[in-house]
Amino acid sequence: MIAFRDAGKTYRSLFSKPVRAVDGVTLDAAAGEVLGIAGPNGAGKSTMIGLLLGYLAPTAGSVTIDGRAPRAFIEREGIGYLSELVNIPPLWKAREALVRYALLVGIGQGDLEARVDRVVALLGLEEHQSKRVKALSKGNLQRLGLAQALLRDERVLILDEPTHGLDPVWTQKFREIVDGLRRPDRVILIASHNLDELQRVADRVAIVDRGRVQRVVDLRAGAPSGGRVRYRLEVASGAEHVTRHFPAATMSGESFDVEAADLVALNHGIAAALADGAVFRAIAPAHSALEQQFREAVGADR
Amino acid sequence: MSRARLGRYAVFQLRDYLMGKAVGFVLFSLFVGSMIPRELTASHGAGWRTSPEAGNIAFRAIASQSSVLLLLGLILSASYLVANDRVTGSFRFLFAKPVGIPRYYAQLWLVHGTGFVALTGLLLLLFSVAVVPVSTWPFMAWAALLWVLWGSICFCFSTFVRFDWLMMTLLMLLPALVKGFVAPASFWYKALTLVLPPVAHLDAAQQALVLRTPVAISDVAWVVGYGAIFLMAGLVSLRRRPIGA
Repeated sequence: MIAFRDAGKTYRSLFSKPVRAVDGVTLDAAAGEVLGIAGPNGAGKSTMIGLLLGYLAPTAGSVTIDGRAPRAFIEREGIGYLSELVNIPPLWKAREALVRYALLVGIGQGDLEARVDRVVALLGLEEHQSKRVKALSKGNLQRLGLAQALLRDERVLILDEPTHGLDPVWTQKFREIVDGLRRPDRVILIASHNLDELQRVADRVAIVDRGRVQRVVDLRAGAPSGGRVRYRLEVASGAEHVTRHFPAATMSGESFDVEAADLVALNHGIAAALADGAVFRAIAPAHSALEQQFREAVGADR
Repeated sequence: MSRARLGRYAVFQLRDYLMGKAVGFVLFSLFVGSMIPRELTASHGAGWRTSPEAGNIAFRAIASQSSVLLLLGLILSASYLVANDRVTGSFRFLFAKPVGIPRYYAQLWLVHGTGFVALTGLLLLLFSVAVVPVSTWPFMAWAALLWVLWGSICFCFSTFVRFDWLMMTLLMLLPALVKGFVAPASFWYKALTLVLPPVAHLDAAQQALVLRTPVAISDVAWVVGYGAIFLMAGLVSLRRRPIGA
């Protein structure tokens, strides 16, 4: 449904060197899928979203939604979009903003108040509806941004840093909302720095760095996990047995970060350390599978 | 899929205009307008209001102030129509909706222009009620011509640059510079007056409106035609040039 085909975007200006923000990106997102886009700052995520919305034109390749140029699709069907920065004029009131956006998505008078009420309730904005946008906290503003994206049942949802500024309760609710939004004919694209969040909500995650898709991680059940495993072992006693069986282990306080080729190799090492007399207080993944892939794709230093 | 209800959204666009840009125009006009009766009393004596010529006296006084007032109203009303959304990023949510970007801004241009002309009429109506009755339509027509020409030019600039009103003001000065520095009989004078905004035609139309004589169709055609070219150029720019560029 969403297709980047060797898409590139180079920013040119008279007084500085050209900047290649997106370079030869080929990526698909199918209907029914939640695709995450992860990457460090300046990786090209926002430019990719700009291309997808038709706010920027590719300088190479193409970007399409449902086989059409982005503006042609959006001006005909519309999409649900939450931008990284929620740019709603500060003097508008929260409910008024939703009414305005509801008119622009084509909701008729008869249905308008009910639709606005629905998203207000969904995002818990009841007590903030009469406040001006400038008076909203970061979290409430983010929820208002998300509310306007959900006014209509769009086939395409693009959420850029959707949990930015949300408290833990609303971060959790956001995951539930995304789960509720899954539909066979809908594609949801989420760009985020938050790998844990993407790990929980996305089916696949494209890791972007230096304007390129470095790898696409499939998080669906049954998908091959690939890569090495990295665990944190918190030692009560017998630390020397850990280093014997995991020579590359790195120590931090009473914990060791250990790496193994796979879970079987890890368990063998732990069993050997236990047999030698090591006592562990806790064993936990040092990084999520996605985080590990992310580190490998963009480099641990970034 | 249903399309945007842009027509109904015009109410919000008008409200934004009246609560924002129009405020400066109204306040300044009220201030200047409140000085006119005092000045007329000083120049024509205390009984000028009861004179049979009171309406004409007031009309001429308003006409002498209108160049500045309407120019200010024009700049306030026409500036940043597109540029503001670009700079603040508020276009991002607007145009993720099923909204044609050129259509949205064409409507905004129309709403602001209508608001500008209507406010001009309302202010004169207020003057008519509070001081002496004056004819409002010549000033409304003057404002409309100003909007069609300069409002369109400013709109076009707004699709390219941030300080659209500054570009428009610089362009306003160019015909005067040409008049001052280029020999009227020269080829360049003729070429430049053909290319630059038709201020001579606009002035002639305004003069006719103030004198309440018939306005030459050719003057109106020049102003409307030139404005239409810039309006269309602005709309084409919005269609072809990505708004986030």
